[in-house]
Amino acid sequence: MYQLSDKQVDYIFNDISARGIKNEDLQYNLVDHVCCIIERNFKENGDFEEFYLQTISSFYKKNLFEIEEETHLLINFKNYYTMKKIMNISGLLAVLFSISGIVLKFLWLPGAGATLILGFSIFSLFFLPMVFAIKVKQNKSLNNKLTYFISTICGSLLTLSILFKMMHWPGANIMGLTSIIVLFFVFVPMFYLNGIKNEETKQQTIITSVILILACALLLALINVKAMRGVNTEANHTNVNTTNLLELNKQVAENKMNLIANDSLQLNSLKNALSIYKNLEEIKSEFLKKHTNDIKYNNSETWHELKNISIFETESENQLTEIKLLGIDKLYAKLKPIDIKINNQNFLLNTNLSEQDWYNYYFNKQNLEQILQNITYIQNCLFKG
Amino acid sequence: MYICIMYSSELLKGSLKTIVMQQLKEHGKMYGYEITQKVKEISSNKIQLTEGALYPALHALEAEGFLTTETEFIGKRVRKYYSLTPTGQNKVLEKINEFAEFVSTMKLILQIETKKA
Repeated sequence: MYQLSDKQVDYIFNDISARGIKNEDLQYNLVDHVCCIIERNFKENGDFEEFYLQTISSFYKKNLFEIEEETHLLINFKNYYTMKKIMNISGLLAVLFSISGIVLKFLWLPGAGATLILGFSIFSLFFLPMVFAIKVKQNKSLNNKLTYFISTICGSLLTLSILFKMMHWPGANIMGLTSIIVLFFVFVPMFYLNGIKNEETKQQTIITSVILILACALLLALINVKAMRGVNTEANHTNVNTTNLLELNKQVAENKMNLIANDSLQLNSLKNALSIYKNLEEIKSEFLKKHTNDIKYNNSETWHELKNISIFETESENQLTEIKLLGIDKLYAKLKPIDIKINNQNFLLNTNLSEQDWYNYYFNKQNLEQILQNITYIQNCLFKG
Repeated sequence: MYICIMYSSELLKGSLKTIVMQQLKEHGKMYGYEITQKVKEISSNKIQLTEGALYPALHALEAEGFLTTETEFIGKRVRKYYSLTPTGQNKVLEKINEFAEFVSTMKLILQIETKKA
């Protein structure tokens, strides 16, 4: 049996320590274990260092630190494996559903909304919290735990806000803005101050912080502050909101009556305008009848509820079907010839856009209130001679 | 974490602590390397506990109060001997009974006796 010298034992001890084993008991165990193997199997005339390296490399898959990590996890985290499994499965499902949802959305196929809801919800409600729970158990530093907590909350909130925005559900903007502000003013400074202290992570911390700040700035640039103040930006070209919509309705009626009385437009144009006006009135009634069962749209209480009613699902097929059913698909063709005429080349009704863009501009992915506002706006323009 | 050479690690993952505790019950105090050699010998080389599986399990059992340790200096190095605590003595019996019951249930489910016949 080979006899190890003190120098060789010191060498083994230092090497094991340098490989990331910091737990003293585990260091003793591993040193003794390696020494036992060397004593029984090493031949006097062999290369000690080579034999040692060969032995120690049989202890792990990637690095020796795995053993300490595993020890720490077994001691502190009985449910670690279950959580790790949930994390892996939820991560995989989130990726699969999100990618499928995006593909369906891009191909204009039905089911995109439901798939994206599943993907984003699994990501923010299962995957991120599991990552947080595992990271917290792996890390002892309170600062790091707090950083993980804030990043998880922000990540979940941001994902949900994007989902809410896509589905036109209320609260998307406030969630998005809150998460970005917390990310920008709390998480990034904490992450930077934690990472900059360590010489090894200094460079990476600077790079990641810059990327994070830019990402926050880009996301903030996408948020419309006017929308946060309650002004309807999707339809802000109409420059009306729910409260003054009733006023606008009255104004349209007054304009119409004045024009008829003064006969200031040529008779044919007036006839066309009146016919379109009537047609649009019917469309508004149809929309209300179909989606609210209440055709009394002069009731201001009804108007306030309209903001929460999504007319068109994200699937474009549904939009087109509804547009066709209500006869809106013929609107562009009717309005284009009179738009220039009534508005002195100003294209007040935006018919200088292509037909597809025009429909997107006025009707795509908007709630019932916005659609009705836009139609009323068009009606109003018809009589602005 | 990877336990043996012959059986799938999944099969043995749940029984590692039982194996270790049974060795300590049989042989009194033992150190890590000794446990691996004993298991290897009894199983005719079919089960070889790796360091990556053994030490985390020993430390976890110690933290749970089933094992106690004593140290001995071998020249410049320290050797840690593990032995069962009274709680550990009871626990090992419980674990062995549980495992035996599991094996007999698995025999029924997999119809191992019938297949052999």
